[in-house]
Amino acid sequence: MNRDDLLKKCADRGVADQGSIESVSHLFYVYLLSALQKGQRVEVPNFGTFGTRVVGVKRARKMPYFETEKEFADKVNDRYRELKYLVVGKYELSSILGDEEYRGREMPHDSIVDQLGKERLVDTQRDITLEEYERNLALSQSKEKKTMPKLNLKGEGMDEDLKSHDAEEGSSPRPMLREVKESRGPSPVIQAGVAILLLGLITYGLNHFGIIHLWGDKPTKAKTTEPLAEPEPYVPPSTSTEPAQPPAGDASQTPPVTQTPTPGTPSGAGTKSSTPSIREMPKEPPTGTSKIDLPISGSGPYTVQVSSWNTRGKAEGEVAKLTRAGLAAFVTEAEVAGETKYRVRVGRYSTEKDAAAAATQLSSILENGIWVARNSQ
Amino acid sequence: MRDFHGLPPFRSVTRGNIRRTGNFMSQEELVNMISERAGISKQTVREIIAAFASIWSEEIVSAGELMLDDIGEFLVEHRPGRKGINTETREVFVIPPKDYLSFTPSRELIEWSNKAT
Repeated sequence: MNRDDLLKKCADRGVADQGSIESVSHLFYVYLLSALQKGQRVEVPNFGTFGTRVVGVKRARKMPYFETEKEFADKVNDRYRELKYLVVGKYELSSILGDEEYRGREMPHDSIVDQLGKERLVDTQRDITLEEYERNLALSQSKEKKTMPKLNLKGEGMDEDLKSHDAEEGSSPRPMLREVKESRGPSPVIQAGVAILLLGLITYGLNHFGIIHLWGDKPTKAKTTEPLAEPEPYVPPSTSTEPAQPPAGDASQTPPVTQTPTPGTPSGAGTKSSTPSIREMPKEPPTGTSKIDLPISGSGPYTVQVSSWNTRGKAEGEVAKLTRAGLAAFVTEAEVAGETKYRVRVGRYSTEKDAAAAATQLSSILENGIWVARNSQ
Repeated sequence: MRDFHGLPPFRSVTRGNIRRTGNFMSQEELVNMISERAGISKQTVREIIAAFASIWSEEIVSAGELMLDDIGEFLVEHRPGRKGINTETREVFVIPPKDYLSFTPSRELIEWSNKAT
């Protein structure tokens, strides 16, 4: 609108004469500019307010703005004036984890259509006709909507029953239906851990019972023919005719007349350890035999028992090996718990001390023999 | 030539219950200054300004736009409706569409507002 048009229209209304209208319009413009320059605002009744605000950061400058008065703004917004903010639904917590679920009406603006009618919603800015709008609406409604699983989340239709139930129960909250995933087993980490444990147990068992060998002592076949390690604290001398009674001073030490090294003794002269060594001893006599100072053969009530066997043949084999090594070995029979045992014994000694000394020497020799025999193989 | 004497000082104006602080030129002050300057009665000045406002507003409502050569351009724009959520109550509501008036100031107005006094 030109300035002349404005003046003409104003003069047509007959408010004032042309000269005063001209001067007022000019002065209004001048005062508006000066006020904006000073940073002031200018109010025009029933129209709005002119003012300045600072705009920009790097290149800050004042920018004039216009604020419409409320009545005039309502006039401008005449088409949508009656529309108000309409609450359609609400997001509510559906789980403890904070998931939210929308509950309410469907979102599109047909709620406004219900409220005000279709013509109000036609968007004149985009030049959409009413027919076109209706066609679009029909198209959108004809599309198949996704079917959700039917869960009675709101408890519709069950309100009365549940309400009565709630009233009876009191403060207990209403149970909610929800889709629950099928519970799968334990997590794969736990499964893997259990599998590793089982594997370890199986391998340990196999190794323990000797089916496979991974660690520990290698099981030897000699153990199958292991002689019975029977604890015999008191063994009468081989020649039963001779009296086995020790002197009166040694009455308290009656049991060890014959040196029978028990398996539990720390000296390592047990029958268990000594017997396999003898069997595997080389044919050449060990050098350690020359160290025996005491007589290995003679006459006396004391002997040294090396081992005992269930069969006579094995005992004689042992004796042969011992004699080959230069020891005077022999076999005696004895009954222990109803079974006959064949005992391999070495030497005869007149006193108990001699026998004990010989036994220690023998044990050391035999022990050495084990190692020699094993290394030579 | 333009003359800028007799401008109101920096102060606050109370209108009704609302106290508007800052630089503000009220309607009465504008009318007083113009009447003093032009030598016309206040009543006629008030009527003339009201006639201007009514002419402008009628033009805007009927045509949807108003071009004032000196001041700037007024344009009615459309803002479509949309969905909104109240973050406190988690309520979903429809913000209705709206027609509003936008103002683009003229170059002269911007220059004058940025001029040093």
